[in-house]
Amino acid sequence: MAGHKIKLQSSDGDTFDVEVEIAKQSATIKTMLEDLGMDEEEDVIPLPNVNSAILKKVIQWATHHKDDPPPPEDDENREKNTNDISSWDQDFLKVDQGTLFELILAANYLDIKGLLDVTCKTVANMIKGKTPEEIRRTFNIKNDFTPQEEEQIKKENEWCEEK
Amino acid sequence: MSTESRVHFQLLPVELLHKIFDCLKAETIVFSMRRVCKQLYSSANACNRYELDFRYISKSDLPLLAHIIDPNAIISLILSKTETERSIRSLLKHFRTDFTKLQSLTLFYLYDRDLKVIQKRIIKYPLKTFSIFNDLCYIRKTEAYISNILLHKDLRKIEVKLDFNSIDIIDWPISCGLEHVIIDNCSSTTVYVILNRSPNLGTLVISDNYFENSKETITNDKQFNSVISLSLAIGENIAMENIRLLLSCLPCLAHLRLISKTLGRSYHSKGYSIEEISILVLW
Repeated sequence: MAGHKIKLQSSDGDTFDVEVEIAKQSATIKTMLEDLGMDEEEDVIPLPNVNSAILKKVIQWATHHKDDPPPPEDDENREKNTNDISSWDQDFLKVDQGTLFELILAANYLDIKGLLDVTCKTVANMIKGKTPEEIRRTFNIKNDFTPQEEEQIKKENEWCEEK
Repeated sequence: MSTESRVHFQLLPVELLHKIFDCLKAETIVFSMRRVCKQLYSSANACNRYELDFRYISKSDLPLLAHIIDPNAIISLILSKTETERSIRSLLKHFRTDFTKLQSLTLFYLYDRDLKVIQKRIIKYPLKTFSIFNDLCYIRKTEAYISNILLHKDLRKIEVKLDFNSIDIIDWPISCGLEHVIIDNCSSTTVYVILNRSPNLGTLVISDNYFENSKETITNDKQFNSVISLSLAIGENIAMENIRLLLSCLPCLAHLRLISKTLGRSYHSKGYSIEEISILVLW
């Protein structure tokens, strides 16, 4: 049986009907619902920081993970292990880099810890084992150090080698 | 119409870059990310939650890490005598100051002299998490060190794996703020001491051997409402009544895990059965 639904409105004006329990994985939406007493199906929650394409992906992720146990609230037990991404999440996150970063921003804005964790781990996996130059190439980042700054960083290494 | 996003790695705010850093080793942040561009250089320098795992830091990398990372930006240390033969004293001498913001400390197989150094330079700071995995053949009076750490009012989580019976001689303070306790073996008497002295305890895990001393008599009429998760690896000599008594004083338990490595051998010889365990789990 389908649960009670609310409407979420993206930055570009599209609305999505979402079950309340799925939407509540977002602590931001949960707080809005509780603070503003929005529990009618006609109520629309505006999400000005998330566009339609990304909101659709977020809802897809939250729907798949609706029965997951709540993640621990504190960050003390966070795991450095980035090899524990489920195969569903791995497939879900096979997207272009821009979409991946927008998902990180959306997960942060909507305060969905599980989605933020898995997207950040995915980016971390793209970084691990790479040299600075390889990281630049991976993310199309320009090396904007001046020659003097490069020299300074080089000296840091020499300082240690001399020690 | 193209829907390709224009968001770029460098548009991520620093708090999200640090969230990504949380998934990386300190060496990757310092030796790779920090050298990519000015923005990442600044972000790495501004990071105030580095976690160092000395088991994997090479001897050549250590001085540079210690030079670049402010000890006040280190929140987690994992110290071990394995991998290298260096003493903890020689590892720590690279850092110019103490670790005043340290929240988590994990110790693997250290010697007595190492613990003395750690006690002097680290343990005085307000740890939230402490873990120790040791053999008594390396350390004397480990229990005294642990008892000392338990006095920290900020300590929330402790994980201890020591030699048999060591847990039972730890001096648990009258009231501690522990929320998570993970120990490998422990008598039922000590479990009640922990429960009575940890009013905020939510999770208790005895991962290897929950046992019962034949001479001890458990009397308890108190309920421990904070405990919501219990995992017990049941030893050979435990009476079912003991477990029933324990469960009866944990009314808010939401997660229960009972493990018996000896089920089918010792349990049958004591007259227990898989069904009895199942009934307890369903309770």
